[in-house]
Amino acid sequence: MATPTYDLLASTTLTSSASSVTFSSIDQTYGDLILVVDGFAASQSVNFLLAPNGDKINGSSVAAYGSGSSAASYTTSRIDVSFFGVSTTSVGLGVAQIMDYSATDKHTSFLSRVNETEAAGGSSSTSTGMIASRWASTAAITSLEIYSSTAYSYAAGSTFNLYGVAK
Amino acid sequence: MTMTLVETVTVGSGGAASIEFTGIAGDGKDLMLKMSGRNTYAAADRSIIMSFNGSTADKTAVNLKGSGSAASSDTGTSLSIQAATTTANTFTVIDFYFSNYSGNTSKSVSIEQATENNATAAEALLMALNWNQTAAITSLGFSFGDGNWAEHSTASLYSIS
Repeated sequence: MATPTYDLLASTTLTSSASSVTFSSIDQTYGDLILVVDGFAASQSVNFLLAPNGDKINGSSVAAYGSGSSAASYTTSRIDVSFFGVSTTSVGLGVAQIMDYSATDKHTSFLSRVNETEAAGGSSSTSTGMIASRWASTAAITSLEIYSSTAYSYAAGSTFNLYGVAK
Repeated sequence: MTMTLVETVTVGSGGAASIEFTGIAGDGKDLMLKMSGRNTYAAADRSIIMSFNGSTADKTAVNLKGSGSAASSDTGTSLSIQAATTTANTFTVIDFYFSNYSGNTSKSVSIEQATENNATAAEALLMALNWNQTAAITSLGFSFGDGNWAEHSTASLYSIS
């Protein structure tokens, strides 16, 4: 039997709304991490941002996306796993690969595949694309917080899964 | 807790009208599907008819496309793969990621596709697809309005749990 190479390290399904989710004490023996966030807003718009080791300052991102009518690109000074955020009627699905997260000799790179769609069948505020991010720190990532800059909460039923990819 | 191969479908001689995965167990968190396909119809491309639990309805999508010379975006829900008039032996590759497929919320699917035509009319595509149903996904189907899946097309479904 083949050796498993893609292991679930931690999983959270919200049973009530929450403003953030944190995975702590992340196993340092894997090569990469994959974070899958699939969520929507409890009341008003939320986005999905990452704070490695609680750091919300030293991030940067460049995004390329399609809105349904045009293609565009932008940069931010944070680590994003969403474009414009989702509402109570839309869904954000982000799959972020966090490369060589335990290394201590280089900054950490993130490559995220991001989707924002209307759960109710609408077509407003939808987008798809990719985001490349950098965490400007040489520390190993031992915890990962997912939070929203809008100060609103993720709805119950939102899921957050963290996987380790063996090296 | 791992990524497990559920099933691989390989299309044999004579082609196949559809590729189906049925009886998908609900014990995983996510599903991943990796497909390499080509259509037999005498045209440059044909659209895949994708079904969830036997239904082709209730889908919305947004796409980002690159043609090699320009980027564009639209809201079409069709995945178009190369057909018989494109370069021989070239196939379209598609990765699907179905998140929270057994949950009770609408289903988000992240899709990446690239055509491999050794000529013009190649394309890379990112799609955000939503199936606006709360039922768990228990079957997936892929067929066409014209033509069949060509021999050597493959599709592998993985469960991530």
